[in-house]
Amino acid sequence: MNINPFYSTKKFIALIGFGLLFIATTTSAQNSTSSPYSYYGVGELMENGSGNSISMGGTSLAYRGGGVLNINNPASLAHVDSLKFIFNVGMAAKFTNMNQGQKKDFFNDYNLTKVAFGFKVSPRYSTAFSVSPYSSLGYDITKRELVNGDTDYMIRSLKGSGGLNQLTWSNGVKVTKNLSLGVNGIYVFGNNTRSEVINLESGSDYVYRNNSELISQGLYFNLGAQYEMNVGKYVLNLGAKYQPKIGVSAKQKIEVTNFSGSAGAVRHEDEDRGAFDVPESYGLGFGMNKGKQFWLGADYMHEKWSDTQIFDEDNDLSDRDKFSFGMEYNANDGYARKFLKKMTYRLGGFYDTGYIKFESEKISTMGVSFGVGIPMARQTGMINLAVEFGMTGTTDNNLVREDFTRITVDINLFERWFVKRKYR
Amino acid sequence: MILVHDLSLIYMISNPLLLRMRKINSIVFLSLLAFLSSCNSGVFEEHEIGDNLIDQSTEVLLIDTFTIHSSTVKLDSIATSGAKNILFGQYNDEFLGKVSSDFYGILDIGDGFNLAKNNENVIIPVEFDSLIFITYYDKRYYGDTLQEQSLSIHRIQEELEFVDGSSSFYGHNTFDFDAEPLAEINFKARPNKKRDNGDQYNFRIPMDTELGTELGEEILQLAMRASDTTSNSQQWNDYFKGIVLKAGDKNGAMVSFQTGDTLMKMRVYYSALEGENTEEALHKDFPVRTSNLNFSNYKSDKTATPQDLGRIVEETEDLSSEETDNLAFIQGGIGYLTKVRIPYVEELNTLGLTGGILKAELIFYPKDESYDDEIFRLPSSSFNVFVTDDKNQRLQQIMSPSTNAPINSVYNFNSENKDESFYSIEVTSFINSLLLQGQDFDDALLISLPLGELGNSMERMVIENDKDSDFRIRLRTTYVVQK
Repeated sequence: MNINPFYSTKKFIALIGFGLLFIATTTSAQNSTSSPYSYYGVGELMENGSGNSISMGGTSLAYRGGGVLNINNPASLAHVDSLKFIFNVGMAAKFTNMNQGQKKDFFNDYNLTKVAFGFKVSPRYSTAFSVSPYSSLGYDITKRELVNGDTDYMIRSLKGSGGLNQLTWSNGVKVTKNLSLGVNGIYVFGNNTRSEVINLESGSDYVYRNNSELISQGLYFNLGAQYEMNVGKYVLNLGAKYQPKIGVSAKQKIEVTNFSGSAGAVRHEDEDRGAFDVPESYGLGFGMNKGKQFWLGADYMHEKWSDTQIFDEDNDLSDRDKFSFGMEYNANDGYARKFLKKMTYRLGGFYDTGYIKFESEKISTMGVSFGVGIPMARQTGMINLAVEFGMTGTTDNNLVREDFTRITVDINLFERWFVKRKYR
Repeated sequence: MILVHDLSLIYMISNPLLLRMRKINSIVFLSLLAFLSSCNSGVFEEHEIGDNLIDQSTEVLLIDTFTIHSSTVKLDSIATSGAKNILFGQYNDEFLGKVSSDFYGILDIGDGFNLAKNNENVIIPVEFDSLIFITYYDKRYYGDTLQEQSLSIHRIQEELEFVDGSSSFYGHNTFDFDAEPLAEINFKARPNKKRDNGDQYNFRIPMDTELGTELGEEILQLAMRASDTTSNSQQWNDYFKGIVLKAGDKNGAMVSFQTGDTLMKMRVYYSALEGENTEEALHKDFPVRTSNLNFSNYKSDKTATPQDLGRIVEETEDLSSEETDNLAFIQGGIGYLTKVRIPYVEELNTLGLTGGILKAELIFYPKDESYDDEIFRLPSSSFNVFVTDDKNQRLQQIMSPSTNAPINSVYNFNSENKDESFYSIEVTSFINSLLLQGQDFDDALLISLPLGELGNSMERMVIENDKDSDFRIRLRTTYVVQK
């Protein structure tokens, strides 16, 4: 058996490079969001599905594909093509218009959605490794306020940065012809930093800073299952996912300092060890194939955040429900020559209640999505583009509404491994 | 056997479309990546939207209700030597008593008093005409110059010598002198007067008392004998140890005279008895140079004052304002400084979980009606403020936290209500160190005229610290409380 490592090695190295870049940018407190809502809970929960699923409103539990690493339901990995080594890098750019009362603002945020590789190990078992964001914290608010009892002003700066990331090892097993099961083992890690900085507008050199850091690392897992059955012309897929509530160990560091240049002191320091919970969640999905070209499906996910605690204290988070639907049409009937006919077209929509409730007003998100899958020549890869238009929050009760457009580029590269060539 | 490696290469080259696709893909890939990594770097812009969504954990307050204890301190030794413009005179101060300054100075003979000689190298005999003392005013004065005051000049009988390795004399030093004066005069000080031609006006004091005339004649006798006394500087200083300008008793003003070769001198007028120019008035000058051997002695008699600052004796003592009508004093020359303590400032540490001080300003007001614009003016320079201990050692001057250089007080003039003008100085680093390290009872601040000027200044200020008054000394702090 001859292995062609030449191009694969380069890609492998590039992939590891991406992975490190990803970790470096997210842990060096660069941000993938600018939303003030990211102050709550563990931050803004990130969309880290495949490009296919993102362009279908996030529908993924009953979805599978030969060239797709659908980490959301690890059971789907059992249906990855043999002989294929899949490299996957996803990037997203989000453009947001924020509205609050009469005020408006505009933000751009960029992040990697996933870096992954996966392959079929044996006819029944596939595996994949990925790095992706779990949550992101990024707000930067500056206010000029009057000092209580004075006519002088001070500047109060509230900043959040960081987020949690996950390193996932996914495994999918074909148990019977119809049933596959999967498990994701996840190592979650990250720093969530929230700081408050105060200084006087005029003539003071002292700067007061309150820095609070939540440093987390822990392991958790989730389980997936997919079941396929034929119903007449159609093939029905059912997908399910379950995640138990698990505590992730975390360290909370608080430091209050008051400095003028290099003169000053730490006024208060505290370090607390504890845990925050990854919520118990379950999801159900259903999908339907008609022939080889058309698929449509819908998902429902429920995450019990209200049950979770952070450092043994109840939090104000509420349960998250996400409803999504999507459809996919592969224009290539096998004989396509024209470029446009080789592509796959997708669309979808979603409604996500989110897990934040502000003064009994739920901050929910809804949106529609469109996407295309562009095959690369000679089945060397697939580029999945997705565009989402959505809205988070509301302007009622002086809250913030974010109108966003998100473009995701998800690139899959396929490498043929383990190909025997006999030439004499 | 063809290696797979070679085969793929051939494969690629033989299929240009594939190669191009790959190239395009990699370009797209890399440029997207470059775009991503460059765009995400750098700083956010600032935004206000959503400020109501983020919990603020701090409150920022202005607190200025601290109790401030003030007292007056008197320095023991203030160097008063070597000034270019010396202070002299006497005036009555409502608060500080009868303040006076005497000046002790050495007369220099220069190259010697060498009389002219005739053709045969014999000294031409001369005759004594008069002896006067000349001084030039400097613009400074304090007190009422319209009042007539008196001055007398006496001969010092004790050698002016430094003590204990010092190189300066101090405001409390005195040396023995003749009770009988060489000169006595009543005058009204004219510090701003100029001659008609615009030149400086000099104050000519005739030294025409019995002793003065005797001195003049004796000097000429010595010169005619070509005595060593009038030709050798050392011998001259042994013979004539110096003069002291003594202020009289009358309530006048403190004025300033300039020292230096051409500015302050004793002058003997004489004329030749023989030769062609018997009509010409000749003179020899004995200048008072600017030297550390010349110094001022300051005194004040506080017995008649309501606050009786005479109770302060040692430098390590301080007299609380509560015993001096809730007033504190600063005076040059005599050397009064104001000491300030803030006993309860550490209570800031009890606010909230923790906190931090952003700014602290010490604010003090001159007492209403203790000064005016003409006679008893506010000091012309800013105050130095020092961190001190219980022995009133000036440990360190208050520094600016950013530049690490000493800072002085600032006079904040209120043009609408002049009475509400005040002095302020930023003492943030000092208060911050009290909060961090805890305050000893000893920790205090001393407010003073600039130390370098203290020995040669008659300026003074009275500070108000009545705890019921709006114009008491305050510490204005801007403090962040962590909830």
